[in-house]
Amino acid sequence: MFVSAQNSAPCFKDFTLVMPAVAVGNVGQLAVDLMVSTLNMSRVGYMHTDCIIPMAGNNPYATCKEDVEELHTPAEVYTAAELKLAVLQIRAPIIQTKSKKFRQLLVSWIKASGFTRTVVLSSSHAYQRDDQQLQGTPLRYVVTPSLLKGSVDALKELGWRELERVAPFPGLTDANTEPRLYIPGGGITKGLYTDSCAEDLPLAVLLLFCSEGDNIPDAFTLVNHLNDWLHLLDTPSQKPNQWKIPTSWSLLFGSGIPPALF
Amino acid sequence: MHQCGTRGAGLQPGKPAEECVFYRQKDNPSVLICQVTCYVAEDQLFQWTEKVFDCLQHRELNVTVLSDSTVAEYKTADYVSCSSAPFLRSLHSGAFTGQPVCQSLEQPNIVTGLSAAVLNHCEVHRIAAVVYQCYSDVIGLDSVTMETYKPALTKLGKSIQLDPSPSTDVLRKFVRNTNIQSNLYI
Repeated sequence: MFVSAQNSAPCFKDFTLVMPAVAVGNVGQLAVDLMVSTLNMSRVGYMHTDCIIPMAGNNPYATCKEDVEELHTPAEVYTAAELKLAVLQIRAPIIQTKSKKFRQLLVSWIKASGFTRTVVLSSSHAYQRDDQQLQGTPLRYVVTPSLLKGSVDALKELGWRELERVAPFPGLTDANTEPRLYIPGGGITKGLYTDSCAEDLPLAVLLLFCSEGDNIPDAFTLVNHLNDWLHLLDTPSQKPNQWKIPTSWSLLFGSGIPPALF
Repeated sequence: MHQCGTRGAGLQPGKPAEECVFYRQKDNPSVLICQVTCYVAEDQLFQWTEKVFDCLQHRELNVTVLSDSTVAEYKTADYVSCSSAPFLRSLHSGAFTGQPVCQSLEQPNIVTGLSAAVLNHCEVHRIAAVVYQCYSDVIGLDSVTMETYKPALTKLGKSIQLDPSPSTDVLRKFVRNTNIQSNLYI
């Protein structure tokens, strides 16, 4: 699945992997775009798989004329070696019937590459929140037991809110049923989390409750939230925006308006 | 030209065949032309591409894809007035060293479908490939749209024996065949 873009395979040992889930509002993917664009990350490889719908385009992070004509594929891996950070960007939907296969491929690749931890940036339908979740921050996290061991103090210090478990059959007051994890609109998030628990992988999910629309502010919220933990940018997140918007974000809502319309 | 290919299942009499056909020039066997008139579902694009490329020798392989799209899908800051369509845009893999015959596809535009699947394969396997996509403002086929591909065909004419300017009678024959199928607006 992973094909190196260079002549030799890159080394991911001791790296942190950040990846998005293709989820409501594409917030995770937008957040990852901000990371690659701001931290000037370089592409080290492609995820070449039949699980993702094909698409192709020129360099979405082009800054000058020279690097505009560089072909990019639906799933690519970027690194920032000085931060020991690797990022997997996914730009197309995952084929529904192949979602389990894709999760298995991901888990095997993560294990084989030796990442110290994986962070999945995701989102969930805001309209599915219960009364409690409507108040306070829209950000939540879930971690696998393997990651919890090393990060308990960090998470406590950050004051983050863990994603609440829900009753499997709302309305039924059967005390025997265990509350379960529920991430509607989260794509492969829940599946990837449960697979990682089973494989004892250190994985964290950071998600945001949101709706479809202009999700750029949501992307900023999520990436700043991640930055509070990983400290990718030197400046604290309260300062004016330090994230660089990539050129591919132009015309998100269509072409310019024909002047004759008015 | 030799012809070999597969015909789509469920052919109906009177309907044009939905198929994927490979042609090879008798005098120039190093050139292969693939004409795809069938629909390839998005979850089959990857497999289709792998199957085709598994039969080809990758060394010194050069791939050119001719594709089309509606100008409504083309995003630009300045409104594209009808007079500028049809126009050609290109996308090429990292291994492509030539000069495309037209402007490169600007952000935030992308290609999808078979062209994208072929480009992805060529990029990952370091095969030289270029896609020429024609943005058109008409639904059917017309000689103006067909002529848009001329620069690409002229360039290909250097390695394939190709007549870049077929007579308008030849082009008219293709257009007439397409028009007969649609009588919605008579």
